[in-house]
Amino acid sequence: MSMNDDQSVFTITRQFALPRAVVWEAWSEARQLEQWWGPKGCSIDIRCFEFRPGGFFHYAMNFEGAPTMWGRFNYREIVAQERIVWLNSFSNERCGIARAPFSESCPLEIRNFVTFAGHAEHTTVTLRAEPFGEVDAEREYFEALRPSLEQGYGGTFDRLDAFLLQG
Amino acid sequence: MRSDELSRAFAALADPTRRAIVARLAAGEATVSELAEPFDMTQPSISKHLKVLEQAGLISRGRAAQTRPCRLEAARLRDIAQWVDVYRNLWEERFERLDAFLQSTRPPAGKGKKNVHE
Repeated sequence: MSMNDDQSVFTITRQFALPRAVVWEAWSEARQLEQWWGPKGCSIDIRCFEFRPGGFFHYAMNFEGAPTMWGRFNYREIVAQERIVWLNSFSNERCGIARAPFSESCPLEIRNFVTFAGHAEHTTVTLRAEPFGEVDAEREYFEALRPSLEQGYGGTFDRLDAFLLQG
Repeated sequence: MRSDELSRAFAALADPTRRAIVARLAAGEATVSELAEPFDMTQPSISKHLKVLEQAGLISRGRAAQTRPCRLEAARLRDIAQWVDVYRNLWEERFERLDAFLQSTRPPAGKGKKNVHE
């Protein structure tokens, strides 16, 4: 799963006057992430934070005088201080996926790619994003399946080889 | 626009050739052969790209003329632009908060932050 510059419809870049390790921590540590992630005027309560591929970050978004909304990340790829790939969506209380409470046309999931680059003094954070649709989900399912299929066939051929060599 | 239509449109635009075709059609209708010329591609391969764009609702093709000229479907492109705008605002705000948070946890280094918006 990768995405290069020519492919992204949405890209935003920002430079922070801090070392990469410091900026990285703001994304990889729950106590820091909750302080800035939430939309404007919202405080975040973390229900679960599993910072590893396949793990979830599940959070409640509390707006004053409004019902609680839920959000979740499903982490796909994590390379320390380099990149994070995750699917972001609205959620329910049980960390299930949910439609945006305010819109039918809001993408169900958005795939985000964030990269971190830079030296001692500055860190450049680049975020690319795209709606993640059913077609993508299917493709990814088959991509994920492929290694086990290959392994399955590989194993069969190994046994076949062994059998033929015996003869 | 439904969310799966939005993601189909994004997928269609993920290809540089298709983006260039869309940019060309922004200047007005064109036939397949007119489109094929600047891209140095054969008509069948351009047709394949057009099919993807058409299925994503980004272009439509005339039925009347033999040449079936292609034209842009502005409404679908507007939907995409709108989504990008909303998402950009969201991330600009979010990066502001991240910057403020990072500054608040660090002793002042005496250096201003820099913004790079593309």
